[in-house]
This record gives sequence, structure tokens and C-alpha cells, in this order.
Amino acid sequence: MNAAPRQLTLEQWDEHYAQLRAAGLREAAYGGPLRRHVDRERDFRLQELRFDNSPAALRLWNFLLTENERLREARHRGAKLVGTMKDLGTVPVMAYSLPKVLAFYPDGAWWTPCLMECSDKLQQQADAMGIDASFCPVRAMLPAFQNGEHFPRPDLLVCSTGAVCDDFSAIAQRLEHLGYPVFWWEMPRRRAPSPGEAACVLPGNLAAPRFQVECVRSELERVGRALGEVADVDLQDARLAEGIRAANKVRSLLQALRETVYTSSAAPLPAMEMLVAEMLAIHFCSDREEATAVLAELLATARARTEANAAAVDPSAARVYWVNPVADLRAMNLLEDCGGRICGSDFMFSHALDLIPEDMPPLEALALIALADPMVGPAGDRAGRIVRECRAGRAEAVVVSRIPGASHCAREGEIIRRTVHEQLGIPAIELEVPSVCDAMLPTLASRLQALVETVKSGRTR
Amino acid sequence: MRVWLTSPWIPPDWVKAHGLEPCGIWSAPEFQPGAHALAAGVCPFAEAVVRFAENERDGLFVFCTSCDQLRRGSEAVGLSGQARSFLFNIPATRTPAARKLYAAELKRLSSFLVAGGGVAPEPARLLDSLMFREAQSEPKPAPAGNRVLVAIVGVPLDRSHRGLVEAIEAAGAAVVLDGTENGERAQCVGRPAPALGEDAFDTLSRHWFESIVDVFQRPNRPLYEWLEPRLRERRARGILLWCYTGCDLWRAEAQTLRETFGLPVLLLENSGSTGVSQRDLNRVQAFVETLG
Repeated sequence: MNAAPRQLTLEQWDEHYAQLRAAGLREAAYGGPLRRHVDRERDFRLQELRFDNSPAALRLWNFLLTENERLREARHRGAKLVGTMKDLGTVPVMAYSLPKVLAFYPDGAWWTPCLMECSDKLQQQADAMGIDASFCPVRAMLPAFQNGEHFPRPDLLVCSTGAVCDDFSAIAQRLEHLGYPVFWWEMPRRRAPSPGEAACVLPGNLAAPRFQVECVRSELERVGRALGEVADVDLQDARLAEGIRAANKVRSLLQALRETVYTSSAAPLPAMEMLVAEMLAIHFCSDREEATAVLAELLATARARTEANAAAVDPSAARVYWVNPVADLRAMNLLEDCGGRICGSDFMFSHALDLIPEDMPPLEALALIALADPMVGPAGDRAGRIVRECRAGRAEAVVVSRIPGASHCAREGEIIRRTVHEQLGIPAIELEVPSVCDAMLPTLASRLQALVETVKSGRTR
Repeated sequence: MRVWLTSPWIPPDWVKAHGLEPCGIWSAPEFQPGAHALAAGVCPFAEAVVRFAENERDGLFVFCTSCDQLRRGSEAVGLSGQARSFLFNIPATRTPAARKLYAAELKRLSSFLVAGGGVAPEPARLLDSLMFREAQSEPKPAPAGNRVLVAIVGVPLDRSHRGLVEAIEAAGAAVVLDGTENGERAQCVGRPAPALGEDAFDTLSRHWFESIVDVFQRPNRPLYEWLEPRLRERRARGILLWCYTGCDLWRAEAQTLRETFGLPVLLLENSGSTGVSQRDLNRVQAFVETLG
């Protein structure tokens, strides 16, 4: 059943799902109607969102929304669970190289208050634990550990520190004080090589001193030993190389998906599905092989729609490059409601989208990738990549989405906006999206509408 | 020439060995957190450092990575064209890689200091300066009388906020432990004991790396291990946690301090005012009354 692209409400998806099933839809074991996530998991936010109507999107959402359940099942089957924190994309590659080890990001609990529309009470519980609303929404992770009602308690917690945002670092330290041992590893603040200093080229058009790469490599070696102890298997180079190849399959698919969607003249997939799809890069949503299949299906859908000139978003929509993930997924629908579409993105983990080099010792390759993290170096580097991707996606505007309470947002937005304006001459705005943005919708809508109007009026000149 | 340091964990000995004068930025009369308009989410202390660095034309500036606000503030200074600033990567952990990183940063700082007008340190002179540095012993608490004994921990107390200690004393308390960043934790870093086969630089690097006791460390157990015996021996009955709005690292420790030491903790958060606000005075008075 090849329906024209549409965005459906949850009610419309109920009917559409019945039609797909009647037409012979085959699903993975975690498949089913989206409605059940509201009924069983209290993901009430789904009632306010609009979803792409493709079977590929259904699979993506079911994959995302069943993660906690799948983690519990995996533990029941004897898998070891590693909670990796902060580094967004590197340590999971190592963990998945080991047999019967899964890695996930407890940081992902930051979306739970959104999905459950605060019925989870995680934010209130975080307040009681000493981490109030002035901190980033990732504070929801703390009570999620304590009450065990969301993700299962990992067998090992690994967290990068050093050149990381303060609020996450503080929350992770509070977690340790509450009795959850954390394996910390040092991430140096990436800098440009000094004149005459031995240097390495990093993915993403960056460079760093060889000394820093060696520092990260030796830290990842320590992490590897800790992972090996959990798995009771050594993380040897051959395993790691295989893990890198498998991770690169995911990254290649994502690159192709981003290329297909972001450079198209009419977006074949909507912004919200693209945000969720990109999130699969960082830890494969706890199932590397299934993540590959999910992305392959999304890519096939995007390509088929592009060939058929079938757009999921109004082709005349303003082309917007989006910076930072949103705490409330509804903001992605809102952009499109206001006449915009995503033509590029930096959701804080662009290093997890780049291919990991396969022609060098695996740990060194992972060290290069880790050091290419946009959050670890100067905001100017991040802005540089954003400019390049804006050109590739023919962006007409940039939105820097501030995360409430996030320490990095205090300064980087200005640097990014200034760089974009100087080098591209396109408008760039900053706006803040809270975990449930309903009360802010009129304000956010006004800002986005004004941006779209500015873009469209610029087209006629 | 003055070298303005934004962290006590950048060894002043090292700066002196280059023939330059190390100064903690919090000691500058012109340094006034709270005196500047702030963009959303910007820490008043970090903004004051940025403004000071942008306007001060004679000295050299050493920023540090001990907090995100200062780390990113250094970029803002760079964008303003101030070329006399350096970002020192202070490691958060105590791993072997972190130790090497710290040493490498000292050497990189040396190149910056020499380029800025300092002289390359002579090993013999460095060793002398280390061995004969004035070791400050920890203060002996003054007799408290009827005063309530309190500790103060947190970010540096700069000149414009020194009135806080007077306010605490005026409320009937005595500060028996200054655990702020520019207080006893850093002031009482003693003389190093050279290890066999170590040269002066290695001694300096190892000694200062191992002396770091701060909230940004991961884990930050050393901070609690430093505080515990001192709080106990000096019989502190409460802790004033002094920090700025936007200082996530310290604010997140308030509950842990309460739970670990079983002491009341008053979080005094400066959102951008010079001096001690009336609101903070009231809160200090109420806190001391509660403890009394």
C-alpha cells in the first residue's frame, strides 16, 4: 500500500494501521499500533504529535518507543547492559563489539517528561534530589535510576568528563554520590595544533594535536578493559574492527538518508522522523542490527518518494537548518506548521554521523572520532561545519534551539549565529524549547513564522 | 608583567619561574562580577572574566577548562581580538592520561608565557622556587566564644564580595573554614617532595596535579575527603555554599553536602550583583539564627 505522504495524528494512525495490516503489513516483533504506547507506557505526548504515514516511520517509532522494554528483555536473556553517558556515539561502538553486551544512553531519559507529558513526575523527583529546574532536562535521568520504572539499571556506567557540559557533569556526579559507581574517562578540550606540533586529521574537517588523540586513545583503552570485564571477554582489535564496520553501516545509511532528505527540493520525510532517525546513530537504540534495518527502510521510503516527487512537507517551505535537539518533539511539527522544513541538522553529535576510519588501529580511529565531537572543541569549529552543511542543504535560515539550563547554550548560540550571518548572510534565531512546550507554543510559533516570512520575502527580491 | 589566572590550580610557581607576576583574577580591584549586563544563562563570574580580559591591555590571561562557562568564555575573548589569552586544559580526572595532559599543558603555557614576554625557566631556579616557596599552614581557628562556627565553600570570593565574610561575622558567626576556590584549598598547597629521578618540572607538575581539590573533578571525592576532617575538627555547624547563577557544578553539590556531612547548607547564589545584597544578608542572618 503506497499512500501519498501525509502526516497523521494518532487517531488517524489507528485507522491507517488497520488498513496497513489488512493490506498485509509485516512488522518486527516490537511492532504494533502506536496507540498502545499511550495505553501501556503513558506516552501521552503521542496524542499531540503528527507522524509520517509510511510503514517505515511506524517501524521507527515502534523501535524508539519499545527501547526500555527491549532492554529488559535482553537482560532477561542474559545480556549485559552498559549505560554510556555524554560521549554520544563512541563508547557504544565498543560495547556492541562484544558478545551479549548492549549499550544505551541513560541521558535519553531527558525525553521521558516530554513523552509522558510530565505524568512520570521525574522532574519533580529530580527537584527533591537536589537538581532543580535550572538544570538541563537530562536531570530526569537521576530519578529514573532511582525508581527503576524506565530503563533497567545498567551493569556498568561509563561517562566522559573534562570538556563536557557542566550540568550533565554535575548530574552524573550526583548520580555517583547516590550510590551508582561511574567509570569516568577524560576527554580533553580539542584545540588546533600549535605551529610545528604533530597533528592528526579528524573526521569532519578538523585537526587536533597527536598528543590529544593519544590521550583519548589511552582513555578508550581503559574503557575497553572495563567493558571487557563486564562481558568477560577481551575487547581485542579484531572484534573492535568488526564493530566499527557494523557501526559504519549504520552511519552510511544515515548519511545517505540525510543527503536524500536534506538536499531534496521537497522533503520526502518530515523533521520529527529525521530527528528520531539521527538519534539512532549514537547507540543504535539498543539494537545495532535492527537499527540498520530501520534506517534502510526509511532510506528506501525517502528515495522512492523523491523519485516520485512525493513530498511530506510543502515544497515551498522555508529551508531551515536546525541546531540542537529539542526537549519537546512537538517543536519539529511546529516548524512545519509555520511553513518551514529541515534541510540540515546538528543535533550535538555530528561526530556520530561521520564514518569511523577503518584503515588504522581501531582504538586510534575511535579516538579521532571522539575528539571530533562538536561539543568538545570551540564553538567556532561547530559553526564552521554548520556553515558547510547549510551550503549543501541550501539553507535559507538557521534555528539554534536552546536547551533549558544547558551550560553550553549560554555562549555558543551567539557564535553560531554570528558566523552564519557573516559567511552566509542568512537569518539565524535562537529560541528555547522546554520539555513540554505547550505553554510556549504561541511564542515559538510567532518566532518561527517571522523567520519563515523573512525567508520568503527574501526570495521575491 | 602580570599574568591573570582564573584558577588556583595553574601553578603560580610556574608563572614566577618565567619572570612574570601571577595574579588571581579575583584579586583585581577592577574585577567585578555582577557589574555587567548578562545574556540568558551566562554566569556573572565568567562574564566578568571575559570583560576584564577584553579591556585589560597590559597583562596576559590564562583561562581554564574547569567549568564550561569559562571554557566558552575564552572563545568569546578570542573573537574580540584579544590575543594575549590562553586556555589551560585542567583535567577533571586523575588518570595517567590526565596526568600527562596536565604536564603537557604546563609546557604549552610556558611557550605562551615566553611569547608574551617571559623568560624560559631555568631548572635550577625552578627547583629553588619550589623548595623555598612559602608554605602556608592551615589557619588555627580563633577562639569562637559564643559565635556559631560555619564553613564557606564554593567559587572564589573576589574583592567585591569579601563583605560576605563580614556579614557572616556581623550575624554572630565565625568562619572557621574557607573552602572557596581561592581559600584554604589552594592557599595551603605545601612544598613538594621531589621523587627519585624527577627533575624540577616533573616535581612541579606532579605536585600541583595531585594537589587539585575541587568540585569539577570526577569523581569529586577528593573535595569531600578534604572537607570532612576540617569540618569535624573545627566543629563547623553549618556550610554556606557560595556560587553564581549558572554555576551548575557547585549548585548540584548542595544536597550532597547536606547528606554527606549532616549539616545545614545555605546556598547563596549571586545572580549578578556587586557586593552583598540585602536579600543575602537576611538569609545569612536567618541561617546563623537557625544554627544558634
